[in-house]
Amino acid sequence: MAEKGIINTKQFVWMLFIIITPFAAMQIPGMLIMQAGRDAWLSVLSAWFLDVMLAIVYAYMGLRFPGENFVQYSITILGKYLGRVVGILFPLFFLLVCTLVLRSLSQVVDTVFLPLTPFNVILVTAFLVSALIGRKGIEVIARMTEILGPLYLLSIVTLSFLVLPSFHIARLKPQFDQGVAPFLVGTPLMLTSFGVCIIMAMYIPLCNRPENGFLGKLSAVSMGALVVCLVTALSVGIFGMEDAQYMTSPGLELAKMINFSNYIERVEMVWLLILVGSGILASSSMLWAFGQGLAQIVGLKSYQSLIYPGALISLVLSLISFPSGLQHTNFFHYTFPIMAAFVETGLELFLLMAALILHKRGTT
Amino acid sequence: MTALIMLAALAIGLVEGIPLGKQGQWKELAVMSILLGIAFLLVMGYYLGLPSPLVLMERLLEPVGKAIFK
Repeated sequence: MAEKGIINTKQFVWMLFIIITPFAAMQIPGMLIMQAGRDAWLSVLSAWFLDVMLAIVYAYMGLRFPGENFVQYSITILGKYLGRVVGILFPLFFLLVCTLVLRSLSQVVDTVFLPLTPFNVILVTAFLVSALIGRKGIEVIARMTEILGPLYLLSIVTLSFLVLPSFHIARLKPQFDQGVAPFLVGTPLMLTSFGVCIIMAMYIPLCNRPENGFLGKLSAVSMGALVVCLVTALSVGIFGMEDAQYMTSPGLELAKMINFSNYIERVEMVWLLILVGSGILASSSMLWAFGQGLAQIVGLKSYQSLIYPGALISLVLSLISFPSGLQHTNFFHYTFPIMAAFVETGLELFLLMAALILHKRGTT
Repeated sequence: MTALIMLAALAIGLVEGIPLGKQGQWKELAVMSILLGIAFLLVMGYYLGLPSPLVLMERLLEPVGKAIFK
């Protein structure tokens, strides 16, 4: 059967927040510091602002085409054939994000926590759990994120307070010492990671109050930006930008530093919980969106049967495309932002322009 | 790993395919089979030395990315 689940605004917010969290917990802060140096935290703020602007477009399209997600309104706007060609790019993009997130997650877990376990075992397990959750449908994902989201936010903020004694604000100064170029280059890198929240267009038709789509996204991306900003600024302020930029997961290194007289120690396990939990939930959302989107493109009655095959393709891609962690990091750094900018911004703006020019509106 | 992927594809085909066949959802069955076929072709292509779609994307877009980012 087609997705019949309904989510409320609170669940909508936490689902989007959980999608941003793995990006904060993995390599992105390090990459951002490499690009923008001390100004990395400013790049996060500007990316947050641009993402909110983009959210206005998505929320507007959600209201202009009530009950339709971007896959469906691509067909409404561009017609049966061209609409399907454009619409299928969204589910494929979600499958790509699932591939990259689970690969990153497994890489960090393998390198830092389970170095003796074969990498493929970690990767296959992560895919299996994500597919199981994704197949259960949006309500199951929503309920899980409703419980885990606040816990993750609280944990990250608490961890940030615990490392504050080692923070040196002087390491964040001077701002713009190499001009505004590093800051400007860092912004799109961060924006494309926040931009994965375009999945909101898949959630809005299933939301009990679709008119809250923009406010929901604003809240989620603000919390997400706060988390990334904290990790980025603290990493630079504690390790210095020279060291922080080469860290696999700067947040993890921050958590490792916490040690209060041998009483509170090994706090990195909390970070592991955040990393694994949010990564798997984000990937299950991506797999769900892939299945749902593809089923709508092809005109299927149910999407559930597409989740496991989708997860298998994603697993195969992550195995055969990146023989080493370095190649994966390079892909994430240089190729993914270009693809993401095209899908997240280019396609949606194209659809908006087409809808305005062709005077297309939803019917229900 | 190839054997494991084949086994997984077979298992998914049986677990998902049999109920779909019983319910007469032939279109769903066809799409699911195509997706499993794509997974199979990707693995075969890898062993034949063909680049994966992501590697092709990388070859195409990485120069652009490197021109923008450090």
